[in-house]
Amino acid sequence: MSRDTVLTGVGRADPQRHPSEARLLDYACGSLAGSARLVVGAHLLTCPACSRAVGEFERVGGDWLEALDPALMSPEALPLALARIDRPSPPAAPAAPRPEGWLPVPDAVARASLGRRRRAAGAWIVPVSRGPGAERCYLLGMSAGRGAPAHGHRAGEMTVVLRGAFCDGDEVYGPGDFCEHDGSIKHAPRATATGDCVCLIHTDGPLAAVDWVGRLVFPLLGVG
Amino acid sequence: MTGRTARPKPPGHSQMIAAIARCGDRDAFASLFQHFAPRVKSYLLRLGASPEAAEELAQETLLTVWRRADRFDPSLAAASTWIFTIARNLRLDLARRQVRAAAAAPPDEAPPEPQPDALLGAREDEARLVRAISDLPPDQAQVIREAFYSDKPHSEIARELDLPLGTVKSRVRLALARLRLRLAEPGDST
Ligand SMILES: [Zn+2]
Repeated sequence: MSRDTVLTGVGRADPQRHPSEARLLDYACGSLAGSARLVVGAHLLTCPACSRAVGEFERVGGDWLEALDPALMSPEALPLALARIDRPSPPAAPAAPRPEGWLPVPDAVARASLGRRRRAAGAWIVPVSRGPGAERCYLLGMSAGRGAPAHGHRAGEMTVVLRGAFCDGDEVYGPGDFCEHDGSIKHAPRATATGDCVCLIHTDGPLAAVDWVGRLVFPLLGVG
Repeated sequence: MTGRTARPKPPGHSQMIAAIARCGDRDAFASLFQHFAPRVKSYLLRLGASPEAAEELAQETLLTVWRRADRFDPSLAAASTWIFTIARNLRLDLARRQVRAAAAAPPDEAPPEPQPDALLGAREDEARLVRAISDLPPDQAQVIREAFYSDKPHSEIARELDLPLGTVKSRVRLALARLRLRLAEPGDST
């Protein structure tokens, strides 16, 4: 793919904001699960530096595996395995096409992006996954210059930018950028004027609207 | 014992995977299975899987090695690294399916059950590993055990050990580096 198809609006695809090292280690160990893993995974697809770091941690995981005391397998384990490799492998599900103008995304996200978009006030939402508990994951699209209504979080939030850029206060987040907030933040992210913005977002709980716009719009979007 | 033979630890595992990709080499598969399936099972047992589930996931892991052998790139990762990531991902897939199945039954609220520390310190008789870990300063050893033998995010480890997250991170980092060096040394089979 050419850079032109990857980028829209903002002139860079190399992410400037990354998950913490602790997150990357959790990813490598497998202790980061669910949609938080999906969001970090989406960042890794666009970020050579973080992929390298995860690869290093995985190498340690491989060393651990190698050094583990072997468990006892059942006597028929190997014959069973040899019989299984003779069976034809199940056909792989065809990969969903990457939405035009987006960065590469995990297949689960590409598939979810085909879902019905709920629209309200210059934004759209497509749910990606729900649960366990209050955990939610969704795609948020914002039209150029428009934004999500101001909101607070009752829980943590992770975001990765899949297209365009958004600003949040003085900060600008471009393609591939990752950001994480704890439950204390109140903010009103908004797409930059240069183009539409799409983000993949994981939250540990529902959003809390801080103004009447949000209270009106969030139920429509299904995130309140 | 501490001879400086710079031979790669598991000789030939990468070539075995290549032989599977090239010509469906069943002998190579059998060797890989004998070596890795019991270790993958051990890894899953440590994370609290039942013996049956651990055995089944070990089977699936090696089956995946067979099916995706052509996607293995020895210039990117060691065989053990690749197989570790396959096992890790299959375990996460299984956990996801279980969560989904559980979510279908009771209402939203039930928080994920805290994993009892069935994982930690259960069996630590791996001579090499113990040797490697015993070389670490105790604080690093503790952090590294928690990180790989349990399923806890680092923030939780920090809370439990009553340490700032930054300290846990830097200890993990140091410990990993030392452990890497230690494990890269030839084993005691020489
Ligand atoms: Zn990164």
